[in-house]
Amino acid sequence: MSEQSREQISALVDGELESGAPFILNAMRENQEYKKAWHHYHLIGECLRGNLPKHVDMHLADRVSRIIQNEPALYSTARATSRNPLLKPVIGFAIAASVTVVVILGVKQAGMGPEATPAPTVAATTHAEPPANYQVARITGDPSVQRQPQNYQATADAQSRLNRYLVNHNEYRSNAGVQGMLPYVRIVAHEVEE
Amino acid sequence: MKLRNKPGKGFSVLLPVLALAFLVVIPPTLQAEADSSIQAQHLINSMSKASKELNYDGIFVYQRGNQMESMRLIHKADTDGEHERMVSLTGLAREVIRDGKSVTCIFPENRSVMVKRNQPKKLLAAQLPQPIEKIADFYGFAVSGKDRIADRSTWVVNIVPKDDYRYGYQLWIDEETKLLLKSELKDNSGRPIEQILFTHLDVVDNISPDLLKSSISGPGYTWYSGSAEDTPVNINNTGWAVMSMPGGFSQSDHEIQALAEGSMPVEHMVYSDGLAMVSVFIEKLDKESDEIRGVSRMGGVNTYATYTNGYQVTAVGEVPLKTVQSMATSVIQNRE
Repeated sequence: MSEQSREQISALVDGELESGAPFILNAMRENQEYKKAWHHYHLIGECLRGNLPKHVDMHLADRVSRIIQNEPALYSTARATSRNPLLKPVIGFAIAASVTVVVILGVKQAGMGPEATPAPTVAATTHAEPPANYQVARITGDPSVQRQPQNYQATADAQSRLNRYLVNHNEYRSNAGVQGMLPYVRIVAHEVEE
Repeated sequence: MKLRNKPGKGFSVLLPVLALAFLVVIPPTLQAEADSSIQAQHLINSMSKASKELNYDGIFVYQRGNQMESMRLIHKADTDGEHERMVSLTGLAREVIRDGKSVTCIFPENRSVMVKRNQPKKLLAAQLPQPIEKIADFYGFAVSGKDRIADRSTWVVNIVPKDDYRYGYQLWIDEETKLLLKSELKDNSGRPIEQILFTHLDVVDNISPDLLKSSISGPGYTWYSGSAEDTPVNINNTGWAVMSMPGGFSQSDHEIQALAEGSMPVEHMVYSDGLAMVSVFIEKLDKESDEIRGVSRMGGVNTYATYTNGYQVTAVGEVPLKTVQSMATSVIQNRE
């Protein structure tokens, strides 16, 4: 990647790119290196502005992109509305890019606390992969569960919240008088796909 | 016995003697049950004490569902209190290290470390175990026999709930050290939900401090740690209350703390029947889209989440689903 391209991406991030935006956007669509630079410049900017939490998930957008790639329903809709074969990657990238924006916004929110050290007590920023993995039980007999199937696609945020709850619960558990199980075993244990 | 000395008195004399004999014979069965129950409770109390006070280093297998993995548990007790390190020996080397001051969870999969500060008051709580008599109202206790685990002779203790709002346990307790060597958490039909089984255990005089240190190296890892401002605040009444819970459960703690950066403080209420424990978390959500509703399960831990008036209410505990569900759905806020 040329120095000029880097400057253009940097300018695009800062909203100062006067011309050549379509070229850069196209390049980002085709070239991972351009895409990474776009992500990094955003991060650098946020870092300089002091908006970053202690942990930033660099791969969230990639993961979302992958999920989108493997999401047949989304693409079948796209194909139905347009015959342009080029539209598919465009949609893929557009959504991934918007995810980047979400990441940055999320980072901003996270860093905007009044105190100098927002210091999470426990676990993860909102964008980190959930550490201990909660498994979603597929209980079909419970009507209240079936009413809200979409909530089972727990977001990383929701997952990490559940994990924080679990750690806190275990902390109490480990100090309780009588226990029949080693409390932290569930945190050390790995997830299984059931 | 006495009949032999009075041979000629006939059946009319024998009858009251037989009746007396029944009085003498039946109680021993009841007495044996009571003895077994008391012995079981005594063993469980000794186990709680031993697990906190001894120095040990063991390898165990943890199983839930069709998943099985092995872990190492190192425990040290000294004048500073307890120090413990649990590390996974299979898959990624996840670790939990805890002492009186903090709990550190290490997740190599995303190279992150979480540190949770403990409250000093919890050390006090740790020294005051629940009286087991209270638990006996809701669980039956019995010593069902002996077994051999990790080359050690053990007592087998059954804890059977008297209703279906809690789970039962079968515990294998080392005769010599009183440490827990095997445990099964059982559902209401007696099937194991999860179990641990030590394959090797050393009880030692001293544990080297090195064994309690994490095997990970700091660089490359992101540490999340609580600051002083995150110290939880104990509170008396914020208006939140759990209206429905199984008999025997009572509130054992209540605090408010910030669990994560930028989030609203989380209210944490702890309920226990002396053995089972349920945490109820109440957290104000900034946006409704973040809400979680429904159930999730992780080994023996069930979680029921619901959303009410902008608040996420989540009950977490080693109890059947219906217990966390009834507790979470009965949470109300009494406005002043």
